[in-house]
Amino acid sequence: MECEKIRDWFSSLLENELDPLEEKTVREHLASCSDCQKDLQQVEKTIRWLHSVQDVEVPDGFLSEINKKMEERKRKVPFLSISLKLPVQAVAMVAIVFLVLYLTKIMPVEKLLMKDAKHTKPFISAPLTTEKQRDQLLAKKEMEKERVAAQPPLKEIEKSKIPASEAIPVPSEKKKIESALITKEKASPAAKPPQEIILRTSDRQKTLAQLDELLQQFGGKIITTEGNTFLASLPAATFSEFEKELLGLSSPGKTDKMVQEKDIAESDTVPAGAKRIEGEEKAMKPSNLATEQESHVAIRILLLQE
Amino acid sequence: MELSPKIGKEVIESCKAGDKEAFEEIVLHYQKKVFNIAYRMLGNLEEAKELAQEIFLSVFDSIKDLREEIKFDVWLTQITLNHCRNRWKYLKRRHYFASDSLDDPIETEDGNMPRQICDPSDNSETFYEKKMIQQLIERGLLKLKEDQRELIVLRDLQGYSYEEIGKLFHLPEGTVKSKLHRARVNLKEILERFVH
Repeated sequence: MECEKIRDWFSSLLENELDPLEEKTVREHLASCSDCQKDLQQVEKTIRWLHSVQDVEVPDGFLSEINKKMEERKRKVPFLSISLKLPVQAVAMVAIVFLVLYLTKIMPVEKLLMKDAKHTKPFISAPLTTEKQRDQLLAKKEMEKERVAAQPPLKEIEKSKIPASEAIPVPSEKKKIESALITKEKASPAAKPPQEIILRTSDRQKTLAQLDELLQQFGGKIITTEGNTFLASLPAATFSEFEKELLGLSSPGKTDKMVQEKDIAESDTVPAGAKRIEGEEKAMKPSNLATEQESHVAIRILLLQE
Repeated sequence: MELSPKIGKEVIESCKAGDKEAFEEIVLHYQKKVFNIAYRMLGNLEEAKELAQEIFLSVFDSIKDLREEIKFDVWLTQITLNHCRNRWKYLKRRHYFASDSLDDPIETEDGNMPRQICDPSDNSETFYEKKMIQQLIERGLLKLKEDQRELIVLRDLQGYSYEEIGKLFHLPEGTVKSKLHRARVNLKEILERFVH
């Protein structure tokens, strides 16, 4: 430690920059420490070598070359300012325009892809085989078609339940419901379809009878029937039990429940009093149904005959 | 290693006004210092010449912006060091120093010389003694960190005072002294590795 501190003073010692007391300390230490003596000699030699280095002569024609370069630069400046700067700016502008176009074009595609990816993701089910997944997709497409067709009767049923506050004054009740629906959808970007269950069956009549029985048992009812698509209403409290029973109607592994992941997240984030059903119904039926029947769940059941 | 007397204020003022003759006077007055700093910082004569010429061209371009309170010498040294730093980075990126080996010939002002790994101070006044020292210092400097090399070049090779270096680097004199000492010790260790 003592040596280190002393060695830090070597440069100052060699340049006579130490005060007398500091110099005395260093000299006393050096007298008794051969390592520091050696080190001082090495530092002294390094500085001596450095001081012995001569300046290098400037190459001949140094100034004339500078003058030549100045002349060359003068000639190049106008050329540079026109032929380089402008194209650089123009190229930059074009690049920005293309980038913006590219981004605006690619974004919706990405959104659609994401939407599709979420929609096709099963909510509850073990990994499906390719065949089953294909079936599921077909069923979903069919449901989408039928959903459009099923909406008018649904709205007719619910029309009397539209609250004045949410209703938009349009000539027909049907349009009113549609408008309310659109408004609601716009207001809530996270609007979602209701619970959707696909039942696969070989005996339609039998399954229908069983479905009716189940609904009665759990205090629910079928609101609308459109071909093989049924919209049922059910008390929220009995929904999970009903769902289990309903899944039992179909052959094992052949019943698919399709709910967007968002549904779950939404049900967790909605404020107290606003039940999951409210969010679920927004996209499919008039919003007032939820306000009037807060404890009911809407379920879309699709029968697929095998 | 004596500093050349400072150039007259009127020459600087004339150069600011675009006087070519005044500029040439400045070049002739400072060319050796600028060229030598560049050479010691880069270790290559051709690069140093190119860079020193660029430095004077940029002096001519920007001298009109030089404020009264800033000394021309300090300003010129700052420009020189900045150019050296940029060129050093540029050369490093291009692996200019990648082939640096102890066995490589060393370029000197007299041309390339084969490296001799021996301590010149051990020989009694050999013909090459001075050249050997020059080579070793040159090589050793390039092995130092850039900021340490700058300190040694300015203080030990160009004879700048601690006060001038302090102003250049915006450091107190005490800090300059201790940093310089650290740089010298590092160079000493590098040179010891070279000769053993």
